[in-house]
Order: sequence, then structure tokens, then C-alpha cells
Amino acid sequence: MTLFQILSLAGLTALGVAIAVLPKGPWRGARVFLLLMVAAAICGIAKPIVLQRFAEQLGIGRGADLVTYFNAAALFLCLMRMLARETAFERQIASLTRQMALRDARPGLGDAAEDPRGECSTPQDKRPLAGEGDQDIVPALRAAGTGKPRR
Amino acid sequence: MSSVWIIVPSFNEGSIIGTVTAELETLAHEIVVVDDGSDDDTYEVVRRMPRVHLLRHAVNLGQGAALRTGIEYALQNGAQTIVTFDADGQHDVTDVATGIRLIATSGVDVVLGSRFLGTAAAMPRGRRALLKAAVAFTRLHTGLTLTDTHVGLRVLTRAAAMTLKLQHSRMAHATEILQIIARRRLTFVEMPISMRYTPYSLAKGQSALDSWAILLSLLRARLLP
Repeated sequence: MTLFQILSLAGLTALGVAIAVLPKGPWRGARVFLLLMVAAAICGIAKPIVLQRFAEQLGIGRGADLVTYFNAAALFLCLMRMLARETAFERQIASLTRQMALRDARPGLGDAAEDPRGECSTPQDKRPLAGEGDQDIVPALRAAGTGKPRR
Repeated sequence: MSSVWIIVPSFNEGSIIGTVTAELETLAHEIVVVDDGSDDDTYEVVRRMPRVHLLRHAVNLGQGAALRTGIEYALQNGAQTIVTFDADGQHDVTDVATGIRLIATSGVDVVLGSRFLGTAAAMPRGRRALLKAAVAFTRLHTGLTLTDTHVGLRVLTRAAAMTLKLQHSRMAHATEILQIIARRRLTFVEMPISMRYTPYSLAKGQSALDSWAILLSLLRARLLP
């Protein structure tokens, strides 16, 4: 066994143990999948011929090709998963922001609003204006919403 | 209180929103300005206009989300007819009055403005080509035969507005509205309108890059409904 194999197997084993004992976290749902991947990697490094045989069974010429195809598929799945999470997160932010806007709307005063100063001086003007009651929420939302302005 | 509500989504339009809103006030309908998380003084300008209903997004979400917020607010307050109107000063308020008359007399669910049936002074050639491409894409995508697809001036009945649960927060909402019209089989008619292109509105308008963003947004919605 080469030094590369020894170091790789040690690292992968440590990674597998870490995944197995992980507490609750973002990877919890994918724990079984990750453990299978680590086991396959250990197998492939310790006994490369196993990968080769398996690849031949699937009609793929080389074990290395099998790993490449598998990595491409796994990467695509991970991207889709991240995109789905980002989409869900964006919708939650949008929903929350819209609800706050509706809650804090300043109603128009219609034709009764005649003020020579051009200012709204009725008691409605004393109401908290949009976002003013949420000084702790607004900065957090602004931070979450940073990025390219959207028109 | 008027039964007609005009929704004006607004993002960083502080220099012009006062003029646009003042013009709309001459129509004596309810006006709703949704400040979509502007960084400038848009909110403060509208705040000094007591007749206007004012809502504010704490963060910038996009025109689609601002429209949805404004429409929902208008429906909650009993709107029977809803007008959407851009805040960048491109539209003519007389077209709003025409649209309201048209929807009342024609019996359709939606009136869509079309600059290609009306006039679009000083429209750059690149913009014209981009819009024509959008018309062709929309025909393929939704089956609707239209002369213009991305005009912010629309008039909707209450029933039609209630179907517009826009999911696209950004500019793809214009295509989404047409998708909903096609899917729900809403009746519609196009109305000639006058568009004014100014250096300001052109700077604020969509670019060719934005059209790619719209396409990607629509594709993403297909993959992740």
C-alpha cells in the first residue's frame, strides 16, 4: 500500500466517523448518502480493482470514468438542492417583506386631504410608518437582501 | 373612495415619482405607491402626498413583488378595477382613463397597453428589436398573439386581479402575467398607448442582459416550481 493510499484512507475514515457522529445540522438529511460515498471512496482506494470490475459490469471501460460520471451526477444534484433552498429562502423573504408592507401601509386620505403646507397633518400621520416599528428587523432584512437591485 | 385603484411600483424614483403621482391625482382615483426598498428619497417624497396610499418593502424585491403587494392591498380595500402604472414617467395618464373606459364597456378581463399600436417616440432601435423578440417568444411560450408584451400599463377587473398571484418577484412577472392570462383563459384586449422615452427612462429600463435574466428566471421556475 502506498503512502497516498494510507493517508487517503486515514482521512476518509476520519471523515466517515465525523459524519456518523454529526449532531443535528444541514447535512443530517444526507448522512446515509454521504456515508455511502465515503465507503465507496475507501473501497476504490483500498481495492481499485473493485471499482474496475464494477465499471465493467455497467459497461463503462474504466473505474476512473465511473468515478467521473458519478461525481458529475452528484455535483448536479447538489446544485439543484442548493438552488431549491435558495428559491425557498427568497420566497420566504419576499412573503415576510410583503406582509410587513401591508401591515404598515399608510392609507391615503382621499379628497379630504387638503393641507396648505402639502404635509399630512391628520392623526393618521402620527401612525408608525412602514418599517418604523421594526427597527430590529429592518436592518437584518436589508442585510439579507443585499445584492444587485431588482427592478 | 373610488373603485379604481392605480398601482405604482417604485424603486429609486425619487426624482420623478412626485410628478408622476401628481399627474395621476388628476384622475381622482385611488393611488397606491409601493416603494420597493429604495435607497433614495422616493419614500419621503410620496410621504408628503397625503392622498396617496403608501407601502414600503423593507428590502428591494423587484417590480413583480411590488405589484403583488400593491394589488393585494387594493383588493383588501375593495378595488373593483386595478391599473398598473410604471413610475418612470413613460406612460401618459390619459391612457389610464381610456383603459378604464375600455374595460368597463368591452367586458374583457384585462386591457393591455401596446406601444406598437400607439406611439413610442424616440424608441431606440435596439430596444425595438428586443421587444419584438419578446413578442415572438411570448407567442411561442403562451400561445397569445400580442403586439407588445412588456408594457407596465394594464387594467384589470377585480376577478382577474385576484388570479394574479405572481411568483416572479423580478422582471419576469410581465411574462408570468401573460402566462396566467393564457392559462386561466382570461379575455383581453390591447389598447394603443403613448410611451415617452427619455434619457432617464432609458437608463432605468431593461437591457439585453435583463432579457437573459428573465429567460433564466422562467427556466428556473420550470425546474423548481
